Amino acid sequence: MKDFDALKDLWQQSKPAEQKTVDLQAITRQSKDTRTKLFRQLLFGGITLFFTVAFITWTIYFSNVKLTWVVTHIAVWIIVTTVLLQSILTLFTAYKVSLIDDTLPPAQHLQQWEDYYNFRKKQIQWNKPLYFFFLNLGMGLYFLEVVHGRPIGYIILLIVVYCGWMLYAYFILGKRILAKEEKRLKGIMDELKLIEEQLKAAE
Amino acid sequence: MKQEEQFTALYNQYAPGIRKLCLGYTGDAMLAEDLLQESFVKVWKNMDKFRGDAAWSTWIYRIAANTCLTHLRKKNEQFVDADEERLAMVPDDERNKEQEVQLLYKCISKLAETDRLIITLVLEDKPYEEIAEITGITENNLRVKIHRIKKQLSEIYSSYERL
Repeated sequence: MKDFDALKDLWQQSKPAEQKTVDLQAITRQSKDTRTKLFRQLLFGGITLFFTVAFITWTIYFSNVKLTWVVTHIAVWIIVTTVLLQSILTLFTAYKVSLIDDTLPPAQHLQQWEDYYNFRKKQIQWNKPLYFFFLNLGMGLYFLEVVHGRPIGYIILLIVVYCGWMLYAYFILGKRILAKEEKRLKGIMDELKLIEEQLKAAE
Repeated sequence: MKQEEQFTALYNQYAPGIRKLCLGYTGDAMLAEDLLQESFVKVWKNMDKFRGDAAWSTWIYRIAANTCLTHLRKKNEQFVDADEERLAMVPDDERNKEQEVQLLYKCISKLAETDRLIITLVLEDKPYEEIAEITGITENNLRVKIHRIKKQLSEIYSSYERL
């Protein structure tokens, strides 16, 4: 059997690929880890929702669109508040991701991923149906004035298109996006659990 | 010292060791280079968090260890068997040594993930105290582990040599 010290000598004499000079600009540009990807995705989502709120508010109160019914104004406020709260929640989730600390010892670092996964799982459980409910409540009330006095064919078409899109977004598109995120996080979790076991194992 | 200057100095000092650590972990030069780059991206981003509680080397190796471990999700178990192209460029007298080194990387990559990291730190001659700090394992536990990993690595190496 080869003596371990001989292997150590071999290791220490080895010269892995030449040392490249550090490209600081490349270092600051490059970031391909999961944490950064998740963070960017959530940050983008949160900001997009925030601009959606701004756009709706501008359209209703500062453009040529004039809404006269009180119920429509209530509807707009329900939509704006729901989307704004969702934007804040998304940005908060991004903040949670940003707190994952790469500089901690591996076991603690891995624990942070597990905590984030559990937080996200619980959040999705209550957040998804609530967001869907209030958004559609607002949209339903908003449509009351929009469709008032319109031909029945127009109303039916609008309901079919809207409901079709919402059902597709909730049951197919939304599920697909969440399943993708869960798969990615679950993948990390499974691997990390394995590592944790290895870290703990004394023998 | 400006952050850029300090980072460059840290990179020049620790990149060779981190490269070896990543190489020992993956057994693949290209992948190791990616992990090295990713580790130093994190070092750059987190430099303001460094408060001097541990040595720079401990802190940087810890980041690299986390980077290697979390990399598992996209791991590619395929080891590039003694990169032929690279070996062809090595003079004959050095080729045997180079092959032995490649074999050593291959053997290390056969160990459990955390064992790979621990043994590469041992091979780098890091003190046990520092390895314990980097990996978050108690020193006593670490001694037992290192003893076992050393034995296991020697056995794997010998089994390949016999082939």
